[in-house]
Amino acid sequence: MLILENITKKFKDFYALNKVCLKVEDGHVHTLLGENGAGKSTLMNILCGLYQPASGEIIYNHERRKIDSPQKARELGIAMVHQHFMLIEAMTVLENIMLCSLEQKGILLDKESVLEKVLKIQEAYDLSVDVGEKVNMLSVGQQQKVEIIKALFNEAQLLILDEPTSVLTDEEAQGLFKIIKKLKEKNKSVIFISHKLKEVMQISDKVTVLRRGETITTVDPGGYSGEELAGLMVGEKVIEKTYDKLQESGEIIYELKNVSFHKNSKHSGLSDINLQIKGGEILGVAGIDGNGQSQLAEILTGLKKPEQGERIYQDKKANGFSVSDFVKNGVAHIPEDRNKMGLIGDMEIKENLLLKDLDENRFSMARGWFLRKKAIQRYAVSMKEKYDIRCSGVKDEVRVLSGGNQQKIILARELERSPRFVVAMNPTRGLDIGATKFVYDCLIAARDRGCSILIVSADIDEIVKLSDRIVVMYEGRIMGEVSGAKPDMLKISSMMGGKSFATIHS
Amino acid sequence: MRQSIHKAYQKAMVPIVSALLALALGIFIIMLTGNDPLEAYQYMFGGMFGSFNNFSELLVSAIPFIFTGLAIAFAYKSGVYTIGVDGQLIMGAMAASLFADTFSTLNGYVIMVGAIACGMAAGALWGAIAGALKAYRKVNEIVSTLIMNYIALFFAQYLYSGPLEAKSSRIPQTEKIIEKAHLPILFDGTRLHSGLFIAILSVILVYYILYHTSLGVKFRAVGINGVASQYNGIGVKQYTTVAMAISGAIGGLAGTVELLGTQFKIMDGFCANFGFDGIAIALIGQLHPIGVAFAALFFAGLDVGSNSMELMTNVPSSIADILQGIIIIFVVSGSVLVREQNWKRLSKFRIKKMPGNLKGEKTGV
Repeated sequence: MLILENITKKFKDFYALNKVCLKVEDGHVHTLLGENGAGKSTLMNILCGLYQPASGEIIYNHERRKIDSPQKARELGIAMVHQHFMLIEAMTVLENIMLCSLEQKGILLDKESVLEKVLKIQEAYDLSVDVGEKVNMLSVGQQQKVEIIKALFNEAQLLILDEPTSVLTDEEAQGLFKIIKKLKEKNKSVIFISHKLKEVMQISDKVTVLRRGETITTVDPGGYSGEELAGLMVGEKVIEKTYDKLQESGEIIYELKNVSFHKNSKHSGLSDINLQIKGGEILGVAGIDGNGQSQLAEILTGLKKPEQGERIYQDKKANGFSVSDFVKNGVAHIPEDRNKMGLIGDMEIKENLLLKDLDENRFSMARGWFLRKKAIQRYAVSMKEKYDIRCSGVKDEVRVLSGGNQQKIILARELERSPRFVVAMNPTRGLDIGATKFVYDCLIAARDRGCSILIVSADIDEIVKLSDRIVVMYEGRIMGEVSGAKPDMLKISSMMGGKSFATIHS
Repeated sequence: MRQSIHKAYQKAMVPIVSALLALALGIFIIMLTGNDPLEAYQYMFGGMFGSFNNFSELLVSAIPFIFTGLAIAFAYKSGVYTIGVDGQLIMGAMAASLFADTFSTLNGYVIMVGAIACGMAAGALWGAIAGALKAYRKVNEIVSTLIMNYIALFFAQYLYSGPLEAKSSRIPQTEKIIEKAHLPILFDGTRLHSGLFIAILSVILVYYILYHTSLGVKFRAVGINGVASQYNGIGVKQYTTVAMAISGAIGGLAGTVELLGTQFKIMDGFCANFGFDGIAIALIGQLHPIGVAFAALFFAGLDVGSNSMELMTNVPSSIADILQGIIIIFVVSGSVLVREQNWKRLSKFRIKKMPGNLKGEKTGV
């Protein structure tokens, strides 16, 4: 039995976890439910010995424990199956298991006894994988089984599965649930992390909801519907409406007609999306992360092409448009991962600011062959002031800046091009309050200039605060629409949980 | 402005200090061979700077190194880790030789210009194939360029020992370049030819393109972060292919200039491994065109100097290879330390050996 008491973890001034309590019984499947940033991963990293809590206690099998290294966690019988597997692809299954074996002492390998034990585990838990096969020849589902065998090989009593189904097909997921049942039967505990309410309800004995680093409640999933769980996860939020909503929207600027992309993949695909974006409105896309929102943004900005259906931008069929075609036609993108997708970390602020505009006459002659260095410098300095980018100079490399300042560079680059349409993915993720407000102000100002904006966010507060119209995505579909002026929160959370209102809504 | 001078200073210090350290270590190595290091170094530097003729020889050997170093640096800056300059070099030289032979009746300067154009085009094509394979088919460029080096080498061998073999010679080699098409000698009595100007021009041009055009910004952006470049509407695949074409063109130029300036014919061992030396030179030059030029001079100096050292003392010239190796190790490990960020990371690691650091600073809270 595992009891966590008042676990607190701070990153600088930010409470990632604030007095979190959790009690996992033997032989139970205990689900941790929460939005991104709720603190699930941080909590699990503490359990695995990767982080140390600032305060609080871990009681495991009736004894107070200090888990100060991953080795310690393994010795205690706590094992984690990470979302991204920790396997060496070029080695066989057996070799991978031997690598992490606790029993392996010295340099001699006792292959026979390892094999024997592995076969026993495979039989007991129905984990059929060819142990002689190289890992890179296995499917993702099989690789996951190898991870579980690894854990059981080291006599794990408590298995942490971090979003295990996000990489699996539905069929494989059902297979995993069977294995989890077997684990339960042998009195092992499982901590299950997932966003997907259906499966949470299917397999959990207890559900603990985390929100913003705090434990909200622990419930029996039997007594709750998916919508109610989604509601708990999102919270009944106080809506401080600080921004005026749009009275009247303009003509349709962007339209998706029956667009599909990787249709069979519920969590990374789109299925028959019909979406209209009107002039000068903010359209919020709500939904739990990983229900096709990233793909929607990629389709809208030209990073991916629709497999079926039509993409119509400014009354023109734009199915074949590339990213640069969209950029030229006034589409801006604030991507979900600013370091990976938004910025060139090792380049200067000014170069990043003008990544899309250097060929313009203002900044160069002969389409980029002769840069007007002075004009570029002047422009960059004016942007630094306008967007309050805190740096020692515009020659700083962007990787040294804080997240908020990095996001400001992206905002400046994207919004100063006077775009017609902006896609903003989680534009305030990881930012502090001040920077968040700044981002909001910028987006609202852009809307008031007549620009249309599509905001995707896992934070429902953000969606409600900014949007003139809200649609909800679930498993690659749009479940329905609500007005942004007085949004029906209950309806939003039930749509996030998978209930469709598309037919009811006229 | 002060900031950028500081940065340049930091960048330049690593190779300079590395070179000095390597020379210092060289003292011990020479002592191990039972020779007097002072005397050895005296002849080595004498071989480089002892006379105008010696110095001109240094410049002659530096010219191809400048090109191969540039070719590598440009590709690496654009995110393509090629080792294919040797192949591009030989393809370029073959094309240039073929042109010069075919049009040997034309005016000398016309042959020169035509041969250079052909050499660059052949190199560019050879590079672009590897670039396109990487961009469109995700073929690892190290593997593809390595293999294409062999293809180029054996293809050239087939040509100069078969259809293009010089009739007058017994050793397999191409027809000698007609004299009127040789690159003009700059100073009578030396071998220093006007390829030096082409090299200097190339350094300036590559520097200008990389750091003073929007094209260069995009090449570098693709090299640092392909995903973000794609998100910003830069055609990563096209840029990768073009980067390899440009790198290949410079590689082809290396072979062509060497052919028209010093060797005049292609045979076994023509510019052997100049492309691999280019990798070392590019790294020592910190992938910066001007740095590359100095690194090439230094490399050439070691080559020329060690020959004269071997001639006058009992120290083998392979000492120069050892020094080159040591310098590369110093430069590569030194560059890591110079980055402030890494200093911070190191010091942090020392203070608290927290396993949490394994995941980096930014935690997905």
